[in-house]
Amino acid sequence: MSREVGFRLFRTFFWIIYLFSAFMLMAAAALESVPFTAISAGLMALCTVFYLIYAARISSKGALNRKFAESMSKKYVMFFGIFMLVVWLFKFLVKKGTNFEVVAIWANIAVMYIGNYFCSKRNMKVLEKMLKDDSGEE
Amino acid sequence: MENNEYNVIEKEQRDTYDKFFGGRGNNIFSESGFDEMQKARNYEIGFRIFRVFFWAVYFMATAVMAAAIAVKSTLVLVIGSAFMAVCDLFYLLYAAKVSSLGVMNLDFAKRMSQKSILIVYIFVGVVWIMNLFLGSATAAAAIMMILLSILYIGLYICAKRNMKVLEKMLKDDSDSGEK
Repeated sequence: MSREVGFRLFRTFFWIIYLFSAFMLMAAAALESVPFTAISAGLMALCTVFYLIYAARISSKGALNRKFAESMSKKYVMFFGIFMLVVWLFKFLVKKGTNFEVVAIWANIAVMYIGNYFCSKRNMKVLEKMLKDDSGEE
Repeated sequence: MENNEYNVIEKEQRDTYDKFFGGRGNNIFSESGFDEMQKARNYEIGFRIFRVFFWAVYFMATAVMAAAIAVKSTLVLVIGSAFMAVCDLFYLLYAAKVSSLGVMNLDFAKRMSQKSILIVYIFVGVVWIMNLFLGSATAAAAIMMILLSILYIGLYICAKRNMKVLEKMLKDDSDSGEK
């Protein structure tokens, strides 16, 4: 029972903190404060890390949301994520015309998309294996 | 399509979270379409990650408050305070929900339901509110201690409720056992 309560609160808490960290990153850029920018970027990265840990653990059990897994396991999701990451890093490192906080937000989203793709693919493989094992037993 | 006993149309049930995100399975945390085993796995994994995530975020909130003192910025202080208040709010929401079901950790509930907790943290809260208004402490430190006091007072109330719920459950069990 406490797990159900904890899970439901987690997802709401997660999204609130994620949005909050994006807002903090924008505030840090406005203040031009390096320590505050570092903390905000770190917080956003922390959210992304936990998102990916959750996705990895759930997909290893084949318990990822089926509709989400089917939509995220398409190849264009990975290409889109890699493309976004490359474009924003290029703009920041080579062209030097983009603010760090904009790059940080887009890079986080891109990494989440790439993670979603791999975790969804694994989820589908685990489900296929489970179905195969079940039909093999019969 | 006729709606009869052989052809019952199931009413689509979506929880508030799915409704907010505009449909079933639109994001990774959606539970729609899950069977009981998948739900149990999700709850188990999500809960364990929640605990670690919560404390990591709480620690970062403290770091932001410390940064507010170093940078001496009101905006950073406001953001850090809001951040910490959100953490405390979710902590109390969790405590309230589990205590209403009587499933709070028993050792924790016994410790937190002692009157000394309430007295000490009311005292701490009052002292730091006075410090804040008198200006005898930094705003960040005062806000942190006030939020901590509110948290502990909330935990006391939740722990007491948990113990009452458990007593009622035991009483109902013994009454039904006697019958």
